[in-house]
Amino acid sequence: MPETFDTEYDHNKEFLTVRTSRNMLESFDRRKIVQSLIKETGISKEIAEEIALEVEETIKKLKLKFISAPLIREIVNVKLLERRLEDARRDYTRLGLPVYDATQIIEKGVRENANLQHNPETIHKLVADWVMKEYALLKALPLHLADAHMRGEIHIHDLEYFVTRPYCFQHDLRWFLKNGLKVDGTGENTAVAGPAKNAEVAILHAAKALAAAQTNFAGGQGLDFFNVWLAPYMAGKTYKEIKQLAQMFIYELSQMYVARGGQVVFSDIDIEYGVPKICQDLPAVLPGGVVKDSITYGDFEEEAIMFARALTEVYLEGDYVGKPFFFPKPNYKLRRECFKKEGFDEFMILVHKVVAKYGSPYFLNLLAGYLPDNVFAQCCRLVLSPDNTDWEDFKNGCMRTGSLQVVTINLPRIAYESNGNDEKLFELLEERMKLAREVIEIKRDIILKRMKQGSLPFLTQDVNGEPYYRVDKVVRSIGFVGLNEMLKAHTGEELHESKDAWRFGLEVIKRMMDIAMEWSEETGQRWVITQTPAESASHRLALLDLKEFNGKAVVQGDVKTGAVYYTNSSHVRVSADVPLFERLRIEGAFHPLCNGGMMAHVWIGESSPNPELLWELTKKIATKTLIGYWAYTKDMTFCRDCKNLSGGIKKSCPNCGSSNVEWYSRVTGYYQRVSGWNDGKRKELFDRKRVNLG
Amino acid sequence: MKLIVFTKKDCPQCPNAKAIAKEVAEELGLEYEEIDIEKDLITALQFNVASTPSIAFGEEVLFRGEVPTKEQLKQEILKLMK
Ligand SMILES: [Zn+2]
Repeated sequence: MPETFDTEYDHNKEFLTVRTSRNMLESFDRRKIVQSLIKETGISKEIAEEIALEVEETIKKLKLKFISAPLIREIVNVKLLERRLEDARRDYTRLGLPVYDATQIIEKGVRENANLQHNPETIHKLVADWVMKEYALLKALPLHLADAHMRGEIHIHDLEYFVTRPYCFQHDLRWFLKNGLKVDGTGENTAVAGPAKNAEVAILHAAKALAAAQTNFAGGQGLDFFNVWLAPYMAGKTYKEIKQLAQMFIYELSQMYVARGGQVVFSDIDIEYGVPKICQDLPAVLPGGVVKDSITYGDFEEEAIMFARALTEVYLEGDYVGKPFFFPKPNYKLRRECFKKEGFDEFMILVHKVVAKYGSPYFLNLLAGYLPDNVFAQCCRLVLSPDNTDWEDFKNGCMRTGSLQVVTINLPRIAYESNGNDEKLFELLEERMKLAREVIEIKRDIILKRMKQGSLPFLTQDVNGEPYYRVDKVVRSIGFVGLNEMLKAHTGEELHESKDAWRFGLEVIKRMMDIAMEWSEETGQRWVITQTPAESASHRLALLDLKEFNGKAVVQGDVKTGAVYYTNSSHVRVSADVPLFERLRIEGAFHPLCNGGMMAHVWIGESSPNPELLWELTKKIATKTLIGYWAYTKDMTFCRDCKNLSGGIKKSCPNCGSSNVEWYSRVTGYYQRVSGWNDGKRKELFDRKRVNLG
Repeated sequence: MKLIVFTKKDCPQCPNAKAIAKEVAEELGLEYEEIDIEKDLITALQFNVASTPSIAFGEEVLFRGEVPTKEQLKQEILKLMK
């Protein structure tokens, strides 16, 4: 029996009282340590007893009235480490955050994720994120992979969701229209809806399907052919009615503030001008989920165009106070066949009015000649090219794809480590990619396990005998950051400074693509190269490299304040003094190599650019460059006092002079409040060289 | 300045484009070159070409993934030579 620890407290003479993690007071009992050690770590009874005794001795010396169970655990951990039982320590330790950090999160929130407002839901999310991130690094990933992330050789995205959810997904609305909607995936916890019988319900189902899916995914949720699949529901409606429906959908997705711990759904929709040829002969899903072979999507050309126009007009109007809609992101597909359609020019001028006012639209360029007729754009910058079995799904009314996980390679680090030696550089590149592959293979096993365990119910819904989510059909994404800085460190020149540097950059990314293609053949799974949306990685990796390779590291931004960043993916340095078209040609050359997704940015300097000129520029980009996906970003200043929205980043409101303003710009692939950006990204915002169309 | 045709082994339109480009090059006294985009993808990418057949005059890509008529091609080249 334990001896007396504190003579002043008689009632504790025989037992030291323990505040356990179950919030109960229990008497200290050494045997509990023995039991838990054996159960949780699998070490031998002898060692467990030895440790428990030592722990008891240590605690006695402390002469405490109370001791908490977590503290006992930490003392046990020290004893495990003293015996070099590191694996056992890993299994026995606790996850969680220091009181100080919890207080910071509760009182201030964090800025690391640009999407997070400071509110009760996000406070819970951040606390949970902390534990889940630690769990991923400590338990799910082997030490060498966790270390590779911590050291900054690679960046594993969305670690907080690593052990629970895949990354992003593109849905086929036809499936929900035909079969109805179970938002919990099973219908056991929530009401079950049958196929929508009218347009209002179809619109709500579309919005709710994305919100429901978001609970099972870490990243973006997309709906391809959005206006096409909904066109049959618009039949017989006036334009005014259709516009009301468009408005309803956009408000739903920009106001449901409930996903992933208090955020809007990270959503996007693809908008087509009319019904593209590839859809025209497909039997249409009609109200009530009815399908008749005699009625195809080609019969709803007019409705599809009206709906596309209505959606665009809603984006143009903005919300009640005149702010833009940031979600769902509208992707406009540019197809060669569109140019022959009546009214296309007029429609695109309308789209470019939205560009001029808010910068909201994104463009998918099917004219560049390397993207197939049908591409999926979703999330920050994913363009997923379909293969033959996808076409089968497309015909069968449930085409679906996405990315399982993104892991980014820190390219500049490789340059620092290879000391100008090409061979070494390519060797290290492959080595780092292999680390990324290991991470993603672990992720695959985890997701399969979760599906078996029933913790991804939206993903395990049945689609003609298959699960809704097919782990081996989605892509495995390997991203990269800082090609520009890699080139500067390795060749002495930045991407835009010489044709040779550019060429070497292309060789690096082509090597990555070749390796990914080899792996795809080897594994039968889809390995792709993607231009990472690196809102936090570009800052984190630059900071780490600055510390580790001081004197050698090439970073952008302000070294003194730590507001540093790497240039995203294979972009030209944002502050480089390069004419727009030159920049786009350099960047466009990389797009065909990034088969897992790409994006280029045009930073607009004017506060009211001319929509006609913008449309001319769009046509030029589409026909003269290989840019596959891009957006025009217009910075905006919103006045909290008078609600005035003006173009550009301004310290005070041009209308009322108030300095109570919020800025909006694209952080990477989406618009966000600048106050949520990290220091590196903020610096980048001010470094961006903007263009004037004149 | 050179007239360059970007080609690919199995491209059905390429022989047609090559024939036209060769004729035009001869008539105008231009140097002529063919680049196989599979063998030298990076050069093609630096021209912002990823589809065949494509035709460039000097640095400028005149046609991407399509075959012009002889007249169209000539016209575009003459515009640039001015
Ligand atoms: Zn104001």
